[in-house]
Amino acid sequence: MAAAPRHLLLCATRKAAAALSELVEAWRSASVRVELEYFTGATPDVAALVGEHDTLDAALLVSWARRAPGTVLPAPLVRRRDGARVPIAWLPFRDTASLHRFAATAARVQRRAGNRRAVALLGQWLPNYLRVSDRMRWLAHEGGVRAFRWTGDAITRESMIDALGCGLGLGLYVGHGRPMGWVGYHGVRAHHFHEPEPGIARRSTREPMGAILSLCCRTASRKRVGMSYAESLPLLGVAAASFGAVRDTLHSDNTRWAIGVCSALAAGASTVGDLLVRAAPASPTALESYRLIGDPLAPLGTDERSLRRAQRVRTYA
Amino acid sequence: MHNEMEFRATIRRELRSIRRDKLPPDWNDESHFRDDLGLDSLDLVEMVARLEQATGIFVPDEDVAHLMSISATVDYVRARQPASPVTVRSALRGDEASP
Repeated sequence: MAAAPRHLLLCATRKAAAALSELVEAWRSASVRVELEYFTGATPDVAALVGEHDTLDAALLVSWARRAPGTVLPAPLVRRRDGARVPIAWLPFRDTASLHRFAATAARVQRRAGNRRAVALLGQWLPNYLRVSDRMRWLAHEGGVRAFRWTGDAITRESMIDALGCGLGLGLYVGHGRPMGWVGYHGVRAHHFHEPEPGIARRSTREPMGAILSLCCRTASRKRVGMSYAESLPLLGVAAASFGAVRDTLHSDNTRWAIGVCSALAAGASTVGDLLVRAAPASPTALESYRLIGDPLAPLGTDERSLRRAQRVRTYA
Repeated sequence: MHNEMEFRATIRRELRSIRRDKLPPDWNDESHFRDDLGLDSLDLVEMVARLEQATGIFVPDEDVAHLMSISATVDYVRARQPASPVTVRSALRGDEASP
């Protein structure tokens, strides 16, 4: 059965939109009606633009990298004129090469024909986070979602980064976070995804993930970093979309998201935007602390080949 | 009070999921979450998250202490939803709450 047509607003300069042409083509092939809104001067207020629409399913704003996720968008979801929640995403325009890389990554994920539901559960090696991961694994199992527990007690940083190259639809990290990366696994930075440590062979055929969600503090914050970790992941081609906090977060809020994400996955959320709409907690701080980066319509399906690769990942658990 | 009965059943189901195989054999709607059922702070956070999903209401962290039992939780939600005493929305099935 063909998917229902979806409507996406892409807000970008002409130069940025041109660099994203491969992704625009992939969206259109996936029955997405892409509405282009060009701008030249100040970055437009996308939340206000979405509020004027009745039919939008998602929006992506691409603007100058000097703008930070925390100031350019108010939240990962805003309301349309009819009251429905719509995912809005951000992508920093640092240079054309990184936009090309992102577009190729997101287009590849869009074209993937995966319909299996699987999630990589990532977490810092601390009792609280391991327990949350265990609960998520159980909830995923109850919902018929295959969960791979690749937490810090079970896998090393290099092996975890290698494992994420299997191409699962979703990865979810719980633990401490900083603008430059995850505190778990003895520190994960964006450069770890493309600079293997000396003497360690990196999987040569990395497949991008659908989305990586960092349910922790500040991975989308720009404090003392030129580019936040959550922004770097899509730009480096690690995932089509990323989700991170622009400030410190509460453990209770992160747990709200974690529970919501498990329920949404079990309920059949098919894209990262759909997942966030379904999982959005009632807590205002839980919503306002986070931003979505990259493709808001990134599919979360996992194909058989990626699933088989993930099953072969060795852990200490 | 069909909705309230459904809501109580929902909480019981969530408690069974959270405290899998660890609930005492005899517990009821008055059993204390911490003292009688053994929920700790992480369990309570999950309980609140599930409660919010089921009802669409927001429970501030400072109110979590008020949710001591199933009956106390029903009273809390009823106080927050005066128009319709206890409404269980189907958030777990992906339905959207009215704005």
